[in-house]
Amino acid sequence: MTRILIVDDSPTMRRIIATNLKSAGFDGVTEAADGRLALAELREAAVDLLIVDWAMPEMTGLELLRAVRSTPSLRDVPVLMITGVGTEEDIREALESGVNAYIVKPFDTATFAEKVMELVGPGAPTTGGRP
Amino acid sequence: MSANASAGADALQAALGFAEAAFTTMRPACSTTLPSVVVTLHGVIQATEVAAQGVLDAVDRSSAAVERVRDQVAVLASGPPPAVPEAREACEDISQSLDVLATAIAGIRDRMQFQDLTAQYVRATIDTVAGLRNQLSQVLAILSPVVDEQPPAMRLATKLGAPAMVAPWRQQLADLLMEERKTHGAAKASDA
Repeated sequence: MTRILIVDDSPTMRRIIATNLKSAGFDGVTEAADGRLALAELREAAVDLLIVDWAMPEMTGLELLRAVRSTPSLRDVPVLMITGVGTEEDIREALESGVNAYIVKPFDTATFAEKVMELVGPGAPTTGGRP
Repeated sequence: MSANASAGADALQAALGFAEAAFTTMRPACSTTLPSVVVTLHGVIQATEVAAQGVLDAVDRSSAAVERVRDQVAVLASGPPPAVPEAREACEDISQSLDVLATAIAGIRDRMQFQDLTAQYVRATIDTVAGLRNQLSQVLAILSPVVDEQPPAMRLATKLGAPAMVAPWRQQLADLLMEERKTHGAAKASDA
């Protein structure tokens, strides 16, 4: 089972993303409301994909991405960054920090599914976070 | 008193009058109006969040109902030929209508992202208002020994660049930059 962790402070977005993932056949979906909770959850169990919102209080998505990339046991986990307000500079910064895919809100189900399948679908590169 | 000294006293008096008027005008904005705006905007975010959850509840129930009807139509369609010739055609119509409904329901779910996007813009506005109140407090502190409580810093507003704008081209830009990086990475790998 592919394990996916959604990190977003918005309950609405977590619910939309989780439903889209379940519709695409992913059942191992967990959620965290901020970056610190996500890191705590990641210490407990590895995941195959992290879906991270950019603008979160306390710890931004970019800060979480950097924390993940600097943790040896997590650095290969694919990260899909979601943002509604990203500038070109933000996107470049995320790419430099090691994001694997980037999706801009509002997105449609097909675009979202396509990005997720690129990372964890059949033929996706094997990563350290996968079982 | 010389003419110069008199002019100086008048100017000082005018400055004091201006400071008093400025203080009287800005004080209510700083202590009441702007904090009230912040509370109201937080309330707007909460209200839209509750409404969005209600819409998503309805969307989930509708999706489940569509799936149940779809299963029942499939059972009917797999049975013996119906006594009424139009019944099979009706089943096909229902199936097509269910597809339309399912697509529309998925569209409603996707479009509920507007709640989070709007909330981000409103939060950026809240931070801007809080920052404005902070600056106003500093001015008032100069005009009066009374110092107001400091509001939170303009964290999110700075990060988001309020007022934020929706720019649909950014997905294409993200894809382009991602593609560039992949191509660059592949070129480096082949060089090596």
